[in-house]
Amino acid sequence: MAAQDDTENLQKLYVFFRKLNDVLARPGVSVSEMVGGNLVRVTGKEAFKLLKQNPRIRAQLERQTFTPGTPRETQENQKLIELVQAYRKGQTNPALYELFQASNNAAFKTAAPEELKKEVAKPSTQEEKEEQRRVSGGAVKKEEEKVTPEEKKEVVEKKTEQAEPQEPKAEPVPPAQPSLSQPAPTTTTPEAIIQAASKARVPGFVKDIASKLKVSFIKNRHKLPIVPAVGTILGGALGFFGTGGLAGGAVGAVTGYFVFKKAEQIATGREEGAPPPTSPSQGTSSSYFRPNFSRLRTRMPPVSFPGKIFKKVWWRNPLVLILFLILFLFPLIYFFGTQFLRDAALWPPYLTGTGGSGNIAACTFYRGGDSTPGLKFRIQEWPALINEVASKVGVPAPVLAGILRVECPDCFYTDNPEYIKNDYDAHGNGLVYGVMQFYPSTFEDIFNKNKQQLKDLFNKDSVKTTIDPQDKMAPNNVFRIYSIKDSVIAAAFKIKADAGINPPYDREAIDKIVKAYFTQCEYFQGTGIFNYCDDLWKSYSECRSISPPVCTEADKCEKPIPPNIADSELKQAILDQFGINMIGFGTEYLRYAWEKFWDISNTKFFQHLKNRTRAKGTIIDVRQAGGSQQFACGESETDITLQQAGRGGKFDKTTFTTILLHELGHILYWCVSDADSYRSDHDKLYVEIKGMTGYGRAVDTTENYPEMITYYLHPGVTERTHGDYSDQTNIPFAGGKNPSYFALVQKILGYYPQ
Amino acid sequence: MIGFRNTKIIVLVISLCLILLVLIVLNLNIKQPPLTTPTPLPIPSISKTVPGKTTEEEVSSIPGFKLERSLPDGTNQYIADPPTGAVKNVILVKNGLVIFEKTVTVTVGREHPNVDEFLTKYGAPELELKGSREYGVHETYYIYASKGVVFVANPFTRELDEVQTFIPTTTEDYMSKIGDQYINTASAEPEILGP
Repeated sequence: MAAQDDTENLQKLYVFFRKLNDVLARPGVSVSEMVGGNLVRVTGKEAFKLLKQNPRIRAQLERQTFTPGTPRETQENQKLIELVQAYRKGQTNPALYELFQASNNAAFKTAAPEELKKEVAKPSTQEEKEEQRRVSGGAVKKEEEKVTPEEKKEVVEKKTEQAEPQEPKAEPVPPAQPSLSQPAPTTTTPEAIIQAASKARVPGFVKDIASKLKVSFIKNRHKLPIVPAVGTILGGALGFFGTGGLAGGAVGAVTGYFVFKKAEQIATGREEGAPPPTSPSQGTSSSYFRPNFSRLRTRMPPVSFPGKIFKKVWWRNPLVLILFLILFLFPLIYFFGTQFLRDAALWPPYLTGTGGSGNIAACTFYRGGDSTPGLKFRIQEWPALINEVASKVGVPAPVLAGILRVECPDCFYTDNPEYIKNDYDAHGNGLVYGVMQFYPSTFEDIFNKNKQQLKDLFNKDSVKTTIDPQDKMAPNNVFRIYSIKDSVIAAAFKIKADAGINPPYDREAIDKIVKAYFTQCEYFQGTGIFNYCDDLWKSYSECRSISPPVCTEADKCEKPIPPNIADSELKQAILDQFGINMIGFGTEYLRYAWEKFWDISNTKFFQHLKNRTRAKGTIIDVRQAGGSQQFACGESETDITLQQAGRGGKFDKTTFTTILLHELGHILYWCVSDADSYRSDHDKLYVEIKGMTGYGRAVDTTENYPEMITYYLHPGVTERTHGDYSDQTNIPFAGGKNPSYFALVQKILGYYPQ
Repeated sequence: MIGFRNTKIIVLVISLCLILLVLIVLNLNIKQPPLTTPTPLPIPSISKTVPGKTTEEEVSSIPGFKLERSLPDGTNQYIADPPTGAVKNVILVKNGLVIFEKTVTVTVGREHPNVDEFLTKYGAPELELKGSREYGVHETYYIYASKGVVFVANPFTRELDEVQTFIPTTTEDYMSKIGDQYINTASAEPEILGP
């Protein structure tokens, strides 16, 4: 009885899979290999889910009939014929024939071509009969003996269920063929098939058969199996996000495919050239196939797919383990570990420097937004090289270094002076090469457009865009894509060309340079999407500033004296020094601002501005009429609009800088965290003692705060912020007035001589 | 058994790796899908009462709160001073039960929760209005009237300044009964500065 049940179940399963395959092949879901591969668990599980949840697919399944003669049918039938023939010639094991027998169900009998029927109908050899009897009888009998009474009862119950009246769409059951000892199935409706299949723990069972037979009925390799597909996707994603490049993604995808494919083969015993299993746990060839499906479906513990793979792979194939580590753990270490590993004591200390001195050797450069700490050069040779190139070509060295930081992260970890001396770095992803990551065509284009200058400044008279081995580098007069120095030179020329003639290196110019260099600001890194423009702006804007240290009262500091700057350089100097981009202002107002900013530069004022939550530089646009106002905190094109003149005509220096500081005071209030701005403490004070100026009292706490800032930094100046509200005879902090506000603002800004 | 245990450990390790990778790709910033059910979420822990449940007796026992005044419609207003800032904590009680609470979040060290943590949890606000009579022109109100919660924050620093809780209602009802007292959407005129 058990053998008969098993055969029926197997037949049903085969029909089920055949039909399922036909159905699911349409929406692109491949289950073709489920009989011969180890993908059954995954695919079958999904298939059941689909069938249970999707009435359309289920209906399709019910309507599905065999259509012999299609290429796949022919291929499959041919395979069956070959299997039968192979068996007869003794070229394969009996279990193979078992599978064939099992698959020789009613539907197959109806659909199979005559030649196959004839092949099957040939009388069996004596050995074959014995083998058949031993495999399907003896082995089953042994298994049957192991089945508990409860299991037997369950089998009987299930059989009873299956024997219940079926739908009229049941497939025709032809008479059994003489050579097949098993009776034809009696329940082959789709519902019964699905029911039987779903109850029979199909994945484990079929997987066992498949792994032992090492055959695949349909070798439609053009459809990626699930396992390598998963590897492909994972590897591709890791490669892409990990390197931020398509080439990395492609390498990852290929690696992932082969790693998973290999693991699949090993786990299922389908590894090419692998000997048939002979260990006691796997049984001898005659006991491979133990078709006691009632036992399988009731007792066999489900073995998860990856567990199955790694259970077999773990100890035997360290290669797979190594590949797994590379694939999964390397990116993690790379993106998280670098933060810890590279800052650890094992690494050499950073170059010393006070920072912010404008000297790129002491500046910090950024990549990956706020997710990654800024880095300084570890060897003096780097800044020396960049400074030399930048000064010769005429571009800001911090811009060049900032681009290097994004294009070549490893360059900032280099602590080997020989690296620069060797002048060789050909790393690339198959498309771009060198420390500055140039396409060969772009590199050549830069050479062609700057031939004369390259000759005059760097003695370059030809170009090479292919990679030579390090020991066979082209001579120095060749502009080589793999030369560290030449790559930096090329970047400098590109920056110069993209920024335009004598540009102000402001945020707009930086964005323009990045977009010309990289086509866009956004880029992928392992932890997400970051902004190249922001990175470069941060690197550049921090590096160019020369802020004097914050003064305390005890220091009794002298007021900083602004350096002499030509009128034409004022706008850029203010931007460089203080991170404020004053657009459209006349020279005299720029000079007012320059001098006042210098005057207060040893307070915490600019420190707070630079520490803003969304620091992007502060943009102040000139406004001819309509008043001045603070709008935003770096999210829009303009943070502040500011007038140069009011109702009384052009502003003098004191009035202009008073209004300028008032608007910047709004930035402190709204754009800096409460912890730094003390806005809550100010608001509390405002409720208790009201405003400290006419304007502050007339409006609200948000106007009083900038008033407090403004007049602290303008001691001795009468109120003049607002023509309608200001008490133009009052000096807010004179003679110890407003002591609470004075104490508070001193906490906010530090010491400023009154 | 050993093999099976190893398998489980390996599967666990792989799963952890995958989870980590997903987190990396999402930049540790997994956005929750917007909530579609009107079921009120738990009242933010910042609030001290549960509108509709907390009794007046319980309110009067909350440290710092004192009865400020009784309104003509029978509503009792309790207030308390926060550690700093200009805005006070307020609890309104009607018919013996709390109907509204307004809690300022700032700490003594002028620290605030990040409003995005709450917005992520609550989904897209039903109404977002800029301009506050108490906090100034840029302050933004993220209103979830049907959930009985409003978050008030500095939109630039993302600092949460205040949480309002009340019995769930419509945005119109919220605006007419509560919102209009605090929200000032009139766009700020540019300052006419200078003499």
